[in-house]
Amino acid sequence: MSEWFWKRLSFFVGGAAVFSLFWSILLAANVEIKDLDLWLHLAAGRYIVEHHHIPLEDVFSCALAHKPWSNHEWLFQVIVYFFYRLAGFDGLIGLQAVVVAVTFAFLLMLGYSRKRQFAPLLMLFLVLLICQFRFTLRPEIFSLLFFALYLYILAVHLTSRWGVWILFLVQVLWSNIHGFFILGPFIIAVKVCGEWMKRHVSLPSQWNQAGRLSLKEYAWLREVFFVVLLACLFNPYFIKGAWYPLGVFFSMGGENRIFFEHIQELQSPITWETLFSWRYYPDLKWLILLSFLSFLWNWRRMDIGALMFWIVFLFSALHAVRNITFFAFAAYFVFCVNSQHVPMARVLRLRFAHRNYKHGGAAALKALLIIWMVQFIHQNSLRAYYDFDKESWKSEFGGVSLQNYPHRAVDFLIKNNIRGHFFNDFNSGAYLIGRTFPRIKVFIDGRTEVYGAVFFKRYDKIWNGDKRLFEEAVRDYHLTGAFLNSVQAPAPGELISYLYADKDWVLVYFDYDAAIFLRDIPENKKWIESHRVDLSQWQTKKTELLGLGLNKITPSRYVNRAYALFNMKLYDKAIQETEEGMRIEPYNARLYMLLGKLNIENKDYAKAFENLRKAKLLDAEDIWIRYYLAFSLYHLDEMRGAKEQCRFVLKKRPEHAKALFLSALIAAREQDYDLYQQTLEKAHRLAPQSVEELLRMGDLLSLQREYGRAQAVYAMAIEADPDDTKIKKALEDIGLKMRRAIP
Amino acid sequence: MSDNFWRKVSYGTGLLPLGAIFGLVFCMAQVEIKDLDLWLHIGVGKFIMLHRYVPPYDILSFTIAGTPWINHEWLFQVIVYNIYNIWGPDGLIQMQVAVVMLTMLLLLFLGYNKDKQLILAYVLYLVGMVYAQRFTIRPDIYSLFFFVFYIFVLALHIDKKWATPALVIIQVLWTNIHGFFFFGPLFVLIGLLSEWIKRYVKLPYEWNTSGRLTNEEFRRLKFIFLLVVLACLINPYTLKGAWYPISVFFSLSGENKIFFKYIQELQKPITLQTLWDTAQFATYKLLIILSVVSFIFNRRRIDISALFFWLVFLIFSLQAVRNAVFFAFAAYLVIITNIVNVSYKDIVPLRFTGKKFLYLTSAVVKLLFVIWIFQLGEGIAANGYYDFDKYERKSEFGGISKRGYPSKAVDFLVQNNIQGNFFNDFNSGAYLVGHAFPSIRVFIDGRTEVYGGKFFEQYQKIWEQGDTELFEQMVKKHNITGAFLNSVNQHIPERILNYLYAHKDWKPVYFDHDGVVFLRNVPQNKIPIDRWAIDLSKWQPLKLDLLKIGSSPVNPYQPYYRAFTLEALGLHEPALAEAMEAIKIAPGYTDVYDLIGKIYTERKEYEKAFEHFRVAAIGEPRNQKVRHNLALCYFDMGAYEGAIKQYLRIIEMWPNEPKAYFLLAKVYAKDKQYEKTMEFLKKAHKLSPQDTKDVLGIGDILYEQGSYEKAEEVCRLVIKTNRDLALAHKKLGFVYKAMGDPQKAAEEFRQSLALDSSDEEVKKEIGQFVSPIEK
Repeated sequence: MSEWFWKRLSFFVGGAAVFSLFWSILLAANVEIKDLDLWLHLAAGRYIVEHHHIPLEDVFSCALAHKPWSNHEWLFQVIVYFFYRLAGFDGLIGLQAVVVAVTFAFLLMLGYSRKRQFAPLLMLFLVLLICQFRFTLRPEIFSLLFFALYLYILAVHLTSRWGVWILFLVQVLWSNIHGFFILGPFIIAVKVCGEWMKRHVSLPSQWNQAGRLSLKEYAWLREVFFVVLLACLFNPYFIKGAWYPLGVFFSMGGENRIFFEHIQELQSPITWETLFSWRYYPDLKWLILLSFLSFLWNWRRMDIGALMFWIVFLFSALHAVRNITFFAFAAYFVFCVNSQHVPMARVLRLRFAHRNYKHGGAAALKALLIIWMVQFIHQNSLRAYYDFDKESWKSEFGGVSLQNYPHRAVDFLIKNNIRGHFFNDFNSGAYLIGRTFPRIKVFIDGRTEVYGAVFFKRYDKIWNGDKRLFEEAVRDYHLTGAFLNSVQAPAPGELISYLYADKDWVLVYFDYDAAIFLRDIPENKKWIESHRVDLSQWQTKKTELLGLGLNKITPSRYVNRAYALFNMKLYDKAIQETEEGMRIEPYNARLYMLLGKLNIENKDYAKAFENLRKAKLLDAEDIWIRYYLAFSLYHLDEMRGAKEQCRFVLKKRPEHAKALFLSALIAAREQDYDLYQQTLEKAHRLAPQSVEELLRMGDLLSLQREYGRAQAVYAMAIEADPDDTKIKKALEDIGLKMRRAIP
Repeated sequence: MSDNFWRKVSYGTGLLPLGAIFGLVFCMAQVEIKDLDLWLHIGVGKFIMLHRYVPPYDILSFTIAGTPWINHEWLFQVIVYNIYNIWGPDGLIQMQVAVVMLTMLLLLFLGYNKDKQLILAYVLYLVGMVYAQRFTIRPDIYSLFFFVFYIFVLALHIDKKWATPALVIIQVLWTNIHGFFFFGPLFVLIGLLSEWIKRYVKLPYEWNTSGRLTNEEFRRLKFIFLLVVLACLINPYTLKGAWYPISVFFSLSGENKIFFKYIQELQKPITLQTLWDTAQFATYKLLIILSVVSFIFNRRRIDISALFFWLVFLIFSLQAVRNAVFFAFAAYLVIITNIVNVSYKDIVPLRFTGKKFLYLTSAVVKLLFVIWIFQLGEGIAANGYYDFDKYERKSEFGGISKRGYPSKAVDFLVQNNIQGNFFNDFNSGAYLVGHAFPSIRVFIDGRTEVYGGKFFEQYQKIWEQGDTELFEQMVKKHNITGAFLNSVNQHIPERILNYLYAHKDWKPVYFDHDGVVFLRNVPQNKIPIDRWAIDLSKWQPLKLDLLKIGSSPVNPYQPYYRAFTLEALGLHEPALAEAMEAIKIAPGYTDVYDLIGKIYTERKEYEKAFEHFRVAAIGEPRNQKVRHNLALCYFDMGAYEGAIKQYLRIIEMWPNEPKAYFLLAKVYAKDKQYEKTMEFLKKAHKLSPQDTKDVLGIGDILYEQGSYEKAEEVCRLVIKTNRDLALAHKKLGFVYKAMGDPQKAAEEFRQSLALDSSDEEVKKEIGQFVSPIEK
């Protein structure tokens, strides 16, 4: 077979790889609707379309009440609302798929050529692997599209007239779709900066010439920069709107840092602990490595602009998970730029004995890439979870997620036409708005920049059981209901048990997805009367195992209900749910953990150890299981085991307050008071409100006749809760003991 | 840095993987003592040392007492006994390590080539991994050493003066250590034959000259052959001893074939079902492929002695797992022989742009290989299991296995000075001999060639099939006073266990995870019976201290084995209690759920049974037994759709197993899907034509449901392949009777009676038919 044959074969296999890549992209982009904030966008879009104006003040939240709102995503909201009206959820998924596919098409055009098929396709596939988890319908996917378009035009069509107009138009759209519109001018600014350095700074090797624009192109670029800057002003808020993303950026270092601690997508993807572990973000690490290597290979002719571009986006990606997609695009871009100048022989120092082998080898590599992509497609297409209502499997592609939203609870609100001002958790706010506005106004939703850090802190305290603040909020915002979503995590024990016990609040809905309480006021009377739930009569619903077959199903509903019942101190009911959950999946670590917690409540530490041990065998990485295991070992006088478990928790989460308290307790028990003091101070700094832990500590020290230390601990506790009678009594007792002890 | 520098770097780093492989093999050779037959060797070694002679007759077993016994391993027994006596079990392990390392060193010297370090290291690694599967203290390890020694001398040093005396000495030792001593003369014979062919037969390419010996070397080889054959006579039995392995070899195709069916190490490593299964014997298969490829690349200059050598040992290894290591060594020899003439340029069409990149890449690959070996070693070093007696983890390296022997049960016998003739299972015989001889004499042990195929068949009838009549005959004939049923290596078969448990003359005196001991109610056993008799129906599980066990994963094999035995005895409550203990220790242990499912099935609590079978199947979806249990559970619950789904899945995973087809046909029959019934019944019958009982059983179902045509079809199916089955004709007769065809019915009844004249029912039926017809 001639060289021509092998060459064509290699090319066609490369074409097949492109096809496989886009097939993978379309599959990944067809993910079900699961974004939390989408519903808020739909509601806002509906509002804008119906009222023909963009609200300048908040209309959704009872806590914000007419606070000015810079809605920088209004255009996105209108677009999604239109698509939703036109074609429902399938239309939205279709929109998502098209946007993502077009984005990748632009990226492909940046680096792909007949002669260079494999490397760009491989890199693009890595980009897909990184970005696939961000393919949810949110304004960000448009930012990614515009980002890719910018890179494409600046790289390939810089001097064409229509290029400028396109950039202008894109910038106008971008400024009204997503707060990341500032990236447009930023990209150009980096390029301008790079050009300036090439002209005015002496750089090593051939860097001053590498990728240098002509004078005309440079001038053109500067003009383009001003044009896109001007385009940013084309928004409903004019300068304010253009300034908006910078304003948010500058506020991130101050009090708004709290969001980075609580919101998962704002956390760092790579930490020192996970740096060398291939379990965490392996694709991102590969991309960093490969793009870095491309600079090394192209060392002599490196484009300084590309290097700066890469560094900036790497830096931003390392600070927040949500930025890794932009870095992925940047890494792909720089790889394509660098590899233009680097022949394969320089990289691998290999040549084929004959050209046929070269083309054959290339075809083989592309074929392997296709196999990898097909495996990806196959594995992903199987992703599904069990729908307990329909008793069938729901694919993770297409339709609306059944796992992410408290849809049953919200259906309940809608069906019964319940209205009012509701306290709710952060994650359910947007969904409530999307489905129940204007009947229900929420306490909080995903618009962190609108609520601000102070409000968020207050909300966080309430969510974690601060009753005083909650009562204040009830008064200030005329709250008539409480919606405690438990679809992703159980509602916190303190709050839910407070509401359940409080005579002013009545439980009207309880299931795996939420607990809804209504305040006992005249407006709620009819709903309370018809829907009051008496959990003492709660009966666990049995699942027909025959229907489940051999599928490994996570009994998430039972887990959620069990935890909720446990948090409400309805232990027997919690056990019933747990047992039913275990019938479905005996290998569920969370259920064993719950049993362990129940045993701890009953002070049956031996049984607690038995169950927590099982939980740990099933999920050795869960730090809460480890913590409770340590707790039960402590109470069984197994200090060594308890310390070992605490060490594990603190290694993974050095600021785990409860583990620190327990470590301090163990140190006190072993009479290592220096360590005790050190650890206690750290724990108290992190969680000054942990009255229970402090009491426990004080009691132990008192038993050990360390009255001075005990008194100090009780003093910390009383500072946290001055009205607690138990602490007051303990302080009195300790005072007495101290007086008796003085000779 | 010059090319020379990188070349030296490459050579230097090339030594690292070799070091790593040796380190790995060294560690793996420290595996704990777990060989079943070792204790017999130690016992006999002790006897020889005490009595100063090699017993010519059996002295260990009461069933073959006095039978002539060619103890071809006496020298090995003396060696191991002495080492064990002086240095204990660690001494034996170190002996193994020494022999293994010497063997590996010889292999290294055989093949080391500075320019082929990587391929050599890789092949040596593969050989090491196959070798590691046979790291147990038995005469085989010496055979392997002698095997390699022979190759070493014949391949490299045949011209040396010391070669001949060395081979003779080795042959003498080999003859008195292991029955595979005939390999020695066999090698020389292969060499001689190959040389003759090279001289007198026209071969392709350059085969006539490749590896050809000089005339002097050829002459020397003939002389060596004569000497090593004579050396085989230097054994306690002279000619008989020398002839011994040949006689065993010829007996393999006769009645001794039965051993290949039941003894794991005598089963084939590769069958049609496992040919493409990379989980089974992967390194062995890889060695076959690599050695074939080496012949292909060196096709012009193949040394036919290497080729014959390779072929002989390939065939040898394909017959039994235990021979795989010999092939591995043979494959190593042929690969290193072939690659001498092959350059990587002939194989890989890639060229480096500079020599230094070649050396650099080579060095990097070798380093990566070293890292990989270290990681593998790390994983292997962590192997271990839990010692429930000491409440600590026991490594799989060093010491004596806690899981391989029924040590507690035997300690019980020894401590209580129990004596007599004991019926025992095959696997525990050697251990009993080693620890309890002469107080206890065994029914059977690992000396298959001494007991013979016929006796082994009888033993299987008692042990596996529960032939109680035969057992009673043996009891009377040999005055058996005890039964030792070991459960450490396998589950005790239900029939024999239940027979002894229910029998008034037999009392259980010991029960634990490692076995059950029964004593016959005879005067000599009165004291131990009075003292130790157990009522297993009142058995309470041994509670384990979970705090001591801690939170690390532990395999709860002890409570599980106890649960299994109790379930086999139908003692459900104690069995469940033990099973729960096992789950307490390891909630993910799927075998226990399967067992609990079985218990609930027997109690007809099908929903509970299903719950547990489901869990077991989720945990181990590729466990055939579990799948079957689950399918049966669906069937028992009347959930035919679920049963069908499971059986179809079983068939998909194990397409050549007839049982699933039969059971699926049965389900379809119950579900009245007759076309499907026949479809799968035919497939089942094709796979297992001798299995008529199951087929006729399905025919009965069809008959009961009134589907007579189908029932007829079923009976005809059986008769087609089993003409002389009286039962089939009988059933067909009933079918015709139900169909209202008395003539055909009568004909079938007559045929049945002709085959089995004692069947009264058939006679009655014929009587009924004859009268109306005559009338």
